[in-house]
Amino acid sequence: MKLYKMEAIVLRARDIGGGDKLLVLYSREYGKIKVIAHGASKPSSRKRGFVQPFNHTKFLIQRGREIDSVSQCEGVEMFSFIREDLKKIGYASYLAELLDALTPEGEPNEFLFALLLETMRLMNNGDDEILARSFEIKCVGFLGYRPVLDSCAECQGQTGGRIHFSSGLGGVLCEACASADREAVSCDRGVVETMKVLLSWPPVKLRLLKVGRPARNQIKVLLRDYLKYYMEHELKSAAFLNRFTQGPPG
Amino acid sequence: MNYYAKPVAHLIDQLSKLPGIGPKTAQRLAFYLLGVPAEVAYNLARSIEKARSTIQYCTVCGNFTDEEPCFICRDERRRRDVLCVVERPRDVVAMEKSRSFKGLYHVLHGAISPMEGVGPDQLHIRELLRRLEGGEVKEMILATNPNIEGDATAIYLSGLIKPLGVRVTRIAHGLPVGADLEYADEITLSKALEGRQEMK
Ligand SMILES: [Zn+2]
Ligand SMILES: [Zn+2]
Repeated sequence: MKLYKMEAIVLRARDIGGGDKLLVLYSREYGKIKVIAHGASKPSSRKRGFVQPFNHTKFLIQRGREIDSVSQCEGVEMFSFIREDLKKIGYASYLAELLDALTPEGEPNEFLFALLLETMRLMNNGDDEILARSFEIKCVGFLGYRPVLDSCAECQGQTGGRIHFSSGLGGVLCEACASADREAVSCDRGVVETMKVLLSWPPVKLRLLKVGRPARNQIKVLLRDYLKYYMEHELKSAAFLNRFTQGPPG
Repeated sequence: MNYYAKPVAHLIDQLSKLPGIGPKTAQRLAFYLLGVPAEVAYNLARSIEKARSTIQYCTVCGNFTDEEPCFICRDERRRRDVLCVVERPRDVVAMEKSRSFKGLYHVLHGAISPMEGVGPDQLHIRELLRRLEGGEVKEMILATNPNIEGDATAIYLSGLIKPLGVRVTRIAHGLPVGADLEYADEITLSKALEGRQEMK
């Protein structure tokens, strides 16, 4: 019987009948991984409380022929402030669904694990919307799709005058190159500067960042469009967030 | 490769679509149904057909019923000032088995789940609001499951209903009978504490 340990955050937990749950975890050691938690839906299960979405849990996993299963688990952080607030449930669902959609199974990335953990911790009294934008842009950055913001993504030149943002060309465009992508959108210099901050500042420092409603809205739309290039499907929790938060649908 | 006659393969195929039934169990069930006296198999087929064709949602509470309204909604001995809100018809059965609730039910047919794309509009919430219009209901007990979806649903409903002047409570998800305290996780324990009632 082969056993191994890992520390993970539960991204999803789905009932699959017979009291079993299929978990999608993001682990420090192995990246995204799917495991079964036998009997975890039953009230008498010792695992029940630890295998819920957004929990930070230590697992002892048993290797299986088709899929590995949870042998033991121990809660590290329960993030109960998230499950007491509908908007925070929406944001945490979005972070989990986004990470699930962007990452392949079995590719460890300790930066992503730490980013998710820190972002969820800061949701306790942080700005959920700004934390979500920082998560989005850092996430694609850690995965190697960092948007080009310092110079023109097309000609590498300076971006004076009007700036455009192109998801297809991977970042900002100078005035001369703006026509290279017909779908490029014109945006304020301030919006680009804010995106640079979201990309580079550690999440804990973001509480110093003040962003007005119009800039928040534009960044949301730009990043949502940028992320679409790296995902196979739309995120369901994005629709939920649109309904329960301010700002435009994106 | 075909190991089965076509109708047998079809039966196995249909059975394996049932929840919790894998291909092996489906095969065993199919051979069982073919081996028993014909009347036993026909009875099963007929009762599935009968249930499907006569059972619908009660237009008042949303529970499964073959009469309109259902036998619970019609029962005059039940209290009409308190509603118990549950996710699924099977939760009504669980509550009824406990014999501790004497009011009426409301079945939402699901729970809010951002990740599954289930929002309030997909649940029977408009029907619930309509029931509260008369002012007869004084208390609403939320009996959604103690998980993220059940929590989200309870928070949403509480925010929606409390301003209407209806008392909103949630059942305590305490320790299941027979479970040792030491094996309980923090969430179970804190929920049990939150939902505690005054001792008589
Ligand atoms: Zn250029
Ligand atoms: Zn009824």
